[in-house]
Order: sequence, then C-alpha cells, then structure tokens
Amino acid sequence: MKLSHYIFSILALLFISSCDKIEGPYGQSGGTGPVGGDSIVQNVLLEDFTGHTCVACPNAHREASRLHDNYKERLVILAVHADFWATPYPVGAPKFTYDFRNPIATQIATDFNVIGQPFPKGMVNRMLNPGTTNQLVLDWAGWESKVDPWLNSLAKAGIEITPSYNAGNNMMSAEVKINVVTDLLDGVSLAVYFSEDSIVKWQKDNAGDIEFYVHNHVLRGSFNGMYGEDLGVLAAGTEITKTYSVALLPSDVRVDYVHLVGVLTNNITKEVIQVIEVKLN
Amino acid sequence: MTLRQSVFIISLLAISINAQQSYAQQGLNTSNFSGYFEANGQYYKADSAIDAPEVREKWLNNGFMVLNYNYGNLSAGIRYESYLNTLLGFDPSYKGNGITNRYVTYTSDLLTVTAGNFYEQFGSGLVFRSYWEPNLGLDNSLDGLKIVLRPRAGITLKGVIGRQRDFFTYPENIVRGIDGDFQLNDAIPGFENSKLRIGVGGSFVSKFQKDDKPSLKLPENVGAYAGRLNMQYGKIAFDAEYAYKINDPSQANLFTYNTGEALFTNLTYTQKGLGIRFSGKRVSNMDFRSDRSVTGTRLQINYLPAVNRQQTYRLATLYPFATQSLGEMGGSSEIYYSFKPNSTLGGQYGTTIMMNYAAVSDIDRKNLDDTLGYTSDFFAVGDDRYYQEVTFEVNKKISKKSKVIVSYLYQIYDREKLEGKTDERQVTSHLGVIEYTYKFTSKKSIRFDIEHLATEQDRGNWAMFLVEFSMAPHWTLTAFDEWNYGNKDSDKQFHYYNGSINYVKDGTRLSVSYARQRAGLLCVGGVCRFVPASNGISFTVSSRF
Repeated sequence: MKLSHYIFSILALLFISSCDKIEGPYGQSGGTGPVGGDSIVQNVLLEDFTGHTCVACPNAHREASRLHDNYKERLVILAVHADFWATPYPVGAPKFTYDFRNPIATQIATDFNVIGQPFPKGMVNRMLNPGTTNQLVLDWAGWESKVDPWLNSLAKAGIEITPSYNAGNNMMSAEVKINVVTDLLDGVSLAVYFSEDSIVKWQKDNAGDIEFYVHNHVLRGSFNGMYGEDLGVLAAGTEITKTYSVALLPSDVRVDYVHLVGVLTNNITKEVIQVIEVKLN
Repeated sequence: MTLRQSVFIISLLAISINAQQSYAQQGLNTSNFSGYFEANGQYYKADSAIDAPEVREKWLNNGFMVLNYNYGNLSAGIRYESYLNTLLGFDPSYKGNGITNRYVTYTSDLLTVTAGNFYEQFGSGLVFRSYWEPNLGLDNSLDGLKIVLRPRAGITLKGVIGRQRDFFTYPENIVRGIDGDFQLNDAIPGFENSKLRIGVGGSFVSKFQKDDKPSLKLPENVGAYAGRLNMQYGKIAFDAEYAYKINDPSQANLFTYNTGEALFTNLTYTQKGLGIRFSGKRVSNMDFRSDRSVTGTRLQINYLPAVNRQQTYRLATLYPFATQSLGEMGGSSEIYYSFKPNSTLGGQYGTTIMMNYAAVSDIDRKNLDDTLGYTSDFFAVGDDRYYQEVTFEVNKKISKKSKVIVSYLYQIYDREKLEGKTDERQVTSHLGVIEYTYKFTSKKSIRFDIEHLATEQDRGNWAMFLVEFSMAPHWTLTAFDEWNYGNKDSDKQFHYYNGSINYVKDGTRLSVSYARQRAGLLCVGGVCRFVPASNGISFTVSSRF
C-alpha cells in the first residue's frame, strides 16, 4: 500500500470516529440562575425582531419566553416589530390590520442593519460581531449561547428605575439612577423605552393564522429617543440620577401592562452595558 | 484589511514581479495573470404603490474583483468584495468591504494542495459542496487546507479541512471531510475499453461546533457520509448517491435529534435527436450547516440538487421551487426529440420538442415527537404536494432568418410551504409563451417574447411583452413590461417596466437599465433569496481580463 493510502485510511478512521451520537435525555439543567447577594448583577437585553405576518417568528417568541422563564428578570426582552413583516394589512382586511410598528422600533431595526434580513432575528446586548464594527444579528437558536456568558460577566454599572404614572394627564415618568462600577471611558448613553405585554392580536405561525395570539414585550416607544441621552465619560463610583417624562401613547396602550426598560449603552460600540426592566404601575 | 491579508497581497505581488523578471530573462512565458471585475449599482427611489422602500443611501452597490496568478505549478489568487451598502435583496450583513478570498495552490501529477480559501464538491454535493454564487449572495468557501491525491489513474482522493465563510467573518466551527472517487475502467487494467463504465465513490464529512447551549446536550461533532455509483452502458447512464447524517439538532429542525438521509438518482438515455431523463430524490432532515443556529443560505455544508427545471422565462419565475432540506420527495422526467429537417413534422429546418414533468411532495411523517422529530417510511410520499410542473415546448426554425419557441407551463405551487404565506395556500397557474427571433442580417436581430400567466390565486393574471434588438457583437437594447392586469385589487394592477442598454466589447460589458421590479424569489438550483420590490436605475460594469 502506498503512503497516500495509509494517510487516507488513517484520516478516514479519525473522521468516521468524529461523531457524537447523543442519547436521551436531551435537556439539561443549564443556564445561569440569578446571582445572589446585594452586588450589582449584569442583566441582558434581548431584542427580538419580529412581525405579525412572519410565520417563523413564533418560534423565536417561544425561545425568548423559554429563556425568560429560565433567567427571570435578568433577561429583558423587547419585541421589535419592524420591516415588512410588521406591515399591517389594509384597513378592512379581516386580519393583521393592527399596526405594531413605531418610529423607535423601525430605527433600531434600521440602524443595526436588521431591515432586509429574513425574520426572526435578534440581538443580545447589541453585542458586536467579533472582528467587525457591526452588531451581531442572530437567529433565535443562537440567543441562549450569547445570553449565558453575558449574565456571567461582571457588571460595569447598575441602573435603578422608579416609575410613576399620572392618569390625569396620561404622562409617565421615570427616575433613573445609575451607579458606575468601572470607568466607562468610551462614553455612555441612557435610553428609556416602554413596552407592553399581553396584546391579543393576529399572528402567523407555521400551524396557520392564530387570531388570539398573545404578543408580549412589544416595544411601544421611548422617553428620550432610540439612543437616549448622551451622558459622556463616567468614572467608577459616579452616581447619576435622571428624570424623563413622556405621554403614554398610542392611546390603546393599557397602563397595567406597561414596563419601562432602561438601557445604558457604550457610545462607540453601541453595546449594552446594563439594562433593567420595571413595571409601570 | 487585516495584517494577514496585507502580507498575503504583498507576497503575491512580490512573487509575480520576481516571476515575470525571471521569465523575462529566460525568454519564457509560462506565467500569467487573469481576473474578473464586476460592479452592480442601483439608484433607488421609493415607490409606495408597489411597496418599494425608501433607501436612505439612495445608491447601493455590490462589486468584486478576482485576480488569479499562475506560475508553473503554482497558482494564487485573491478576491476583493465591496458592499457599500448592500443592494436590496442581499443580506445586509454583507455591508462592508475587504479581501474575502485568497489562496495558493500547488499542482503536480500526484497531488494538488491548496492553502487558503477553496471550493470543492463531493459527488453531487449531498454531504459537501462549497461554492460561490454571487447572484444569491452565497459564498460558503472553506478557509483552510485542501489536498487532492491522484495515486493512479482513475483514483482520486480528496481531503478538506477549514472554517466556513460567513459574510466577512469565519466562525470558529470546523468542517473536515474526505472523499474517494474510483473510476473502475481507468483503475483496473484490462477494463479500459469495456462498454460498461462504472464509477464508485464515498465521502465522509464532519463538523465541529462546541456545545454552547446550556439547556441542551448537543453533539459537538456531527458526521455525514455518502456513497455513490455511476454507470454508463452505451446510450444509457445511471447515477445515484445516498447520504446519511447523524443527529444534528439545529434551529432548522427545531432542535430535534433524528437522523437525516438523502437519495438522489438519475437515469438518462441519449442518442442523436433524442434525450430522456428520469430523476428521483428523497430528502429527510438534511439541513447541514457548520453553525446549528443559522438559517437561510448561511454556512451550508451540503447542497441538495433540484429535480425541477430551472425556469428562465420571466413569468415562469413567479413561482419557483426552493429545495426543502427538511423533507421532500420528488421526481421528474424530461424528453427531448428533434424531428429531422425535411420531414413531415420537422419542416424544412427541423423541429425540437421538449416535455417535462416534475412533482415534489412532503415525505411521509409519523410519530411526531418534540425531541426525536419523526419517523418516516422511506418509500411513502407525504400528503402535502409542494410543487408540480408540466412543461411542453416546441422550438422551430421557420426560415433562414427566423425561429420561434412556443412553450406551455402548468404549475402547482404551495405558497405556505415555500413562501410562508398562509392566506392562500396553493397557487395553480397556466403560462403560455411565444418567443420569436428574426435576423435582419448576420449581426442584427430582433426578439419578441410574449407571455401570459393565468391564475385564480395570489395576484391573479399577468401578461408580459418583451422586445430585444441586438446589433452583434456590441449592442443589445431590451425593453419589457410585466403587467399584473388580473390583480383582484384594481388599485394594484401595476405595470413593471424594464428598459436596458448593454454594450459588450473585448470581454467588458456595460449595462444601464431602468426597472420597476416586482417582489419575488430569485432561485438558482433550488437555492433562493427574496428580492424586494424596487424602483430605480441600475448600472453594471463587468470585465474579464
């Protein structure tokens, strides 16, 4: 036998042994649970780009829900309804006429190059795609593997939000307190969004069109724009308190289902430094 | 550009200069440069009537340049790509520019070795095919090492290892594979002149991706193997390939742990004036990627050939079939026959007819399970018909100056499965085409293409009229209009105009066109991408040198 035959025989044996046959049970108790103690913990923002006419999107909703069940309040979810998947059917159509879109959602999807991609997609903490200056846009199967390491990382800052709502003038307020743990030399921005749970509307799914689908974590708007307020460079130990107010719109938003989401981002990379979610009422 | 890329380019240029000097001194000329350049740009304007979006940049551009250098047994090349920003319909993740492909290859009688980016295919691709299809925005080249050994006539052994390209990055997951191909007539003494020609081959491909999903036990090494046979006896040829893949939970199969398999067969008969082909395919859970968490055309390791025809007429592309890697069972048959000139049916110049039938359905699925997926009877066809087509075409030269093609296409198309549109599951359509070409002189000709598609579903009836005037070898002027006159919504009975001017000279092509482009799928070989509606002026420059 020639040398080449030996080499290929050995390679063949090595390769054929390169298979991992998995026997059940297939699930395992994985994932990082909430960290105990009173220290500031790192939370994670998951932005789920979705639309009511996207048949594959409920798979992503289910994955987001599963992850939220596992990580609880440490995983903050925003369902960003955008692109033509979120375009409503014409008025008078029997279904899909509700407009989940808003300028903030569209701007997030546009600025991070998600518009034009096949939905569903997602971003975890708006992390960068390694080796590039673009955000990493992930299919839903890739979310968990990115969420877990973020939850295990050391928090660079903490956020607390004290919300309030004035029914008389339909205004929401958010008092946001930031505690800086390590120097934030790239500069940071603080955005405060609001989302709504339990909106029952049509949704396409692989199994067909679902009339009473429960839409959760729907991004409804922002107190201070998509990127928020530029707070500049912050040194470790800094404490800042900011207060923002905005009307609770659109008019059909139900105050009891609204959450406020505070997001602190790096001004250069746009990555999320810290995120927190609190119920409005 | 990274340091590694810079060093590579400088090295390539240095080798080139040295080689040219050396050969100039020796008076030899065995080295050469070759290349290809292409740039596609479009100026967009919003057209709310057809849902063509406003493009913030106004102007988008995709382009690339390939440069290859050969020097004796060595060859090397690079490819630069630019997406500033990505044309609509291509994944915006391409946004950016840089060197995306570089390689060095050494070739001798015994072996060919490549370091860097390379493309390769094992058999028909059921377990491994890396290729570049810029029209789809698809490039799954491997960056690594490739060895091709030819130890004796008729025997080819291949080994590959590398990481796959994903836009402008190379994820850390590894793909490795081996393939052996044995053409027995060439390899076995005394069998060379046999009328029966036989070839066999086998492949094994494995990917490594770490288990980074805390909630599941995932296989980090996923292997797939395939065996193939090709035989030819006179005018009859038969080839078949079977592939098997172990458990490969992924987003595509919703993290189920069942195995995958695929079978692809072809039987052909050819003689002068007659060609007959039968193809069959069965695919089950064969979505195979180097990253379990991506979808679309990204990071595909294998390729599942389509059995349906690659339709080229404009309206025939309204309902293209995309291969269903998670499960499909289909077959097709095609027959060509040419009636001789000066015969009753052939007329003075002869006539060629073609008939084609293709049908693809789901596979039979039983015992549905969240973790194991399903079981399936290998020979049973599922209830859901995904696609069906019947084509009949007559191609006739009428005179020395004119010819006509008359074509009819009947299609059944499952919109829910193939486009995710649940409103109206199945589209049934009838398409008629008349294409007529008249040559004024040996260089000047005019072509008319009239098409009509009739359907009760989706957007209703369409008509298309195309006229193309050619002045060989340089100029081609084309104009056409696709008119959706049968749309049930009278406000959406749009015209989709297109006018273009092409100029070709010495391997260089310049093209300017205005198009109001309808939304739809663009498919090549069963692999598709969605093209959104757009309105604007396009420019294309390409040059081969």
